[in-house]
Amino acid sequence: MIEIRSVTKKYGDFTAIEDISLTVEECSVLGIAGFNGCGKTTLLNICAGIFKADSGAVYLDGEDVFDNDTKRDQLFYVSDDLWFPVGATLKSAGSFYSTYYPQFDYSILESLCELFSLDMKKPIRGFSKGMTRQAGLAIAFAAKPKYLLIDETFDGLDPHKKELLRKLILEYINDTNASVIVSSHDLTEVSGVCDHIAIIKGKQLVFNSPIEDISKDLRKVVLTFHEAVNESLFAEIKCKNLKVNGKKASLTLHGNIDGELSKLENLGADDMDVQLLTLEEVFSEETEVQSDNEKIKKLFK
Amino acid sequence: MKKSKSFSNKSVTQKDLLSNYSAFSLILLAIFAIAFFGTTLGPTFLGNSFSYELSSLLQRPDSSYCFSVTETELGFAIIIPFVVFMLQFSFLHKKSSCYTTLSFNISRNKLYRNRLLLPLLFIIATVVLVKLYAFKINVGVFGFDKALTLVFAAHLLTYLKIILFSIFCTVASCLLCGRTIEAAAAAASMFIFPSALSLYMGYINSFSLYGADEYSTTIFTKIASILNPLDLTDNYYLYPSYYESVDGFSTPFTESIVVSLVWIAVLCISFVAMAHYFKRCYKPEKSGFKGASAVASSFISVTLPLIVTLISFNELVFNQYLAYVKIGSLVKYLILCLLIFVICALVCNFLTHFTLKKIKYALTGIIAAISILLVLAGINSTDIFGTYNVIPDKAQVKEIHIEFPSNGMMNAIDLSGNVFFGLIEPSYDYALIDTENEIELVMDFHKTVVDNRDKDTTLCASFTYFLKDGTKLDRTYHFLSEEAVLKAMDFRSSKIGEEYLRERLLPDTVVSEYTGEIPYVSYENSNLVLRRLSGDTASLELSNLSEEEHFRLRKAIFEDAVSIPNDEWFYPTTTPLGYLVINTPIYNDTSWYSDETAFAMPVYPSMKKTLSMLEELGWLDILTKQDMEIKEVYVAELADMVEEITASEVTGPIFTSLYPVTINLDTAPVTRVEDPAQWDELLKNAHPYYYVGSEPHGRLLIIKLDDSEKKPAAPTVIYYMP
Repeated sequence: MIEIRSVTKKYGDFTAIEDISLTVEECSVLGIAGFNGCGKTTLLNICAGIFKADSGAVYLDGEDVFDNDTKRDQLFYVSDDLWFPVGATLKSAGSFYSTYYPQFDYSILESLCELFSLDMKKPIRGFSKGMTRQAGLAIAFAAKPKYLLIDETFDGLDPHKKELLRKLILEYINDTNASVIVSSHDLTEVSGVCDHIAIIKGKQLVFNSPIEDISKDLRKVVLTFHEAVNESLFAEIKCKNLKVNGKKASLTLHGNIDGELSKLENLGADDMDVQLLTLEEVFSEETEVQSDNEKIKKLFK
Repeated sequence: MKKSKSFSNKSVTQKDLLSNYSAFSLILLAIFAIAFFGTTLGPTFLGNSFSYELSSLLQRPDSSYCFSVTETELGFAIIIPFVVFMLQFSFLHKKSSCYTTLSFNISRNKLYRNRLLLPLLFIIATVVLVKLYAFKINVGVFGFDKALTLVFAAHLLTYLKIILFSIFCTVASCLLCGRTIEAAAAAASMFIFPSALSLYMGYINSFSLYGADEYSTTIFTKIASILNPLDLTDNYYLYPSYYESVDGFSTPFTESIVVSLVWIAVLCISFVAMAHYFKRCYKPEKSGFKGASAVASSFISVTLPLIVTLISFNELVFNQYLAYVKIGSLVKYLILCLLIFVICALVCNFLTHFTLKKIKYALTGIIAAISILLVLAGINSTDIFGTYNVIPDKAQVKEIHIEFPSNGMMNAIDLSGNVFFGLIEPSYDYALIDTENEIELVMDFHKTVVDNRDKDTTLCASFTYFLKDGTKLDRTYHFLSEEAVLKAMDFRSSKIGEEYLRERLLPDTVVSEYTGEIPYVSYENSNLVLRRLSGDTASLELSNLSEEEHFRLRKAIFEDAVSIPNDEWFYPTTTPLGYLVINTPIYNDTSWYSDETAFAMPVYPSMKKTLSMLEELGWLDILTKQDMEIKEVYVAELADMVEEITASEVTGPIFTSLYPVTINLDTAPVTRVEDPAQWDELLKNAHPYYYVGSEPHGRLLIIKLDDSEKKPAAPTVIYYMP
């Protein structure tokens, strides 16, 4: 189990992440989503024991990960730019990493190389970006870590390899009971593999939920009236993203959905359509992308 | 479960060892090369040049041994650790390698130890083993003695100190900088900083103490030398039993050992402190893989400009004779150098941060550096510690040791007043002065030096007072005034002058053959030249004389020389009959010619003992024979002749040097005297030599002799006219 407890990290005067707490159970995948520069990589660096948190800490089965030389042979961090020794092939890189990972399994490496169509005898520096990424992932799985951290998980991979990787991760946790954290700025990509989603906005955690509960507390409602209405009609309704356009109005309910829905029913609309939110819509809701959309619409007018 | 505790990670250590075997092989080879081609195995002359060292590889020491860090060794001791540890810690300067390495199952302390200790121990073990082997060889030749052990310990510890300092600078820079290029610049800056500062303080002393440079012995230069880990004890060539005859022989070695041990201890503590810093945070974690930290930036921003300033300072000021640079010009030079310093510092700061926002680091460094230097200059120039002005009471003085050192810029005061040695001897070192009259003479001279602090001459003097309460007082003065130099001439007729002449005319160590004493001055290769007044010379074989005759000749010259009164010595009114030039080589090794003692003594009609001895040897007629007539006579202003005859012949006491001077009369600014009737009158007023001092006064009388039958042509003879 990976426990992230109230972690804050600052670079000088700049706060990168603030008071973030998360838990990744065994046989579980946590997806971390957020915009570029929101602190995902910083959080993973702290989880990997590379950075020391200014406050709070990350624990691997109860042990602080930072500067820990007993637990981290069970942790593999696939950073967005995994390092290989100069002139290394996948074979020699495997040999190098096996020094640090006692459970390293060459047969897994060979199988994955076959799966990804990678030549183990060719220098890695001659690989494309996507192939280098696959090489890093192959090394990671071959190390058989109990805790696997993958930054920018699907970056540089083609759709086929993305799908392959999703299956690999799911198969891996089923077989090893590993705790996995994957990060991406693309929520759709991570949604197919994780059972928990966490969204970081700015420097704080704004959303943390199991995937099945992701839209449990969120509903999108579209109302149609027989004559034009204005926003004052919705003054009593606790909602987000209210948009009124003549006879039509749309809004998002958050929290006490049943109570608010009954209030909406009393507004006299001809038609009321209640929908569950998609992951992308949840992401937009939590990160307030809509406001950007409004700005873009006005930009060239 | 009980945790396993280990000092380093064994599997990673093995991996490091295997993956770095090429680097370690290189270290091994390089250190063996240094050790064998360095000075430690061979005799004294090893170290003069690498090719010499190479050719002398198999030679064993036979008469002396030398344990000192040579320039070749110094270079290796700096470069090998720099290269090795830049490689060891370069993983910190690339995001991918840094993050990947730090995510491995190895604590930062162990990672640091693995990267630091493995090559460090490897280098040190190799150095110690090789040096011990060299020590063993020397012990085999000389036997195990105290001096050898002392010198060996000083040498080894100095060497280790430099290696550790180089490692410290490299590792600290790697931890403090975001990129390899900045780390390299910071490491070089840190390494050079103490030496540059020490040199700079020397220059500041030079201004504030009226031109003292390496001879200044103020408290600051002493502190600077202790604080500079690259400060080396001089090359000590140790002769068997030599140390027993030299008072305070062990002092520099003991001091070197203590300083090295303190440095090594401080550096070891620093390595531990760096481990804590690395564990807590390091530069890239704080602000990424770009730029240097404030500390590294300050070193770069101060050291590199300091070096540029020193070079410009040297070019502007020290390439000229400082004696002729006026104070106003010096101030202008100083301001110019400070401007260069500030501009360089700002440029360096910009290059290390790629922004002017962090200019405060450079400004802080500049202000701190200038403030310290100005305070030091102020302390020196106002002589708060009395390092310049204070002269002890005569009643307190037990003995005085006086020296007239010389170097590239400074000339020794030549008490012979033209007669001897010219530029042959590098310095003059007199015996202890302990009689009341002599002490008074020296102290009067000292007072004249202190009372006349104008930069006049390129001459210097050094005093060491041994006081009755057991304390010691050192004073060194440069650019002595003309008054002080004239005052020094009083020594000529004193015990100091007598000892000075005795040392040169009757050296104790002159022997007819090598007897095992080093150094020794050989009769066998001595030669005598009789130079007649006409400039004609006759070489005679001194080796034809018996040892007894050789000594009698030298003794006769000495006894006549000390009896000549001062006035006649410095401003002769009598024309000499000719000159006796005796050249005697000095050997510092059985086969290695290293120096010579020589003098050109005028023989006056009043030097009865010398004349009698020459007559006995049958050489008087050869000396006094006149067989050439004056053909042409020229007159020239001495000041105009600076380009024609070398500076030393003009500014030094002798222009009638050991060897006759040839002047190109076709191009020289001379005026021909056409009327032969005037020639005798001019010759009557001319002196064969003259004490010139520092400024070229007076005129030269240049006589060209009839050379029709002489091959090669007879030289031009030069006289001086006040």
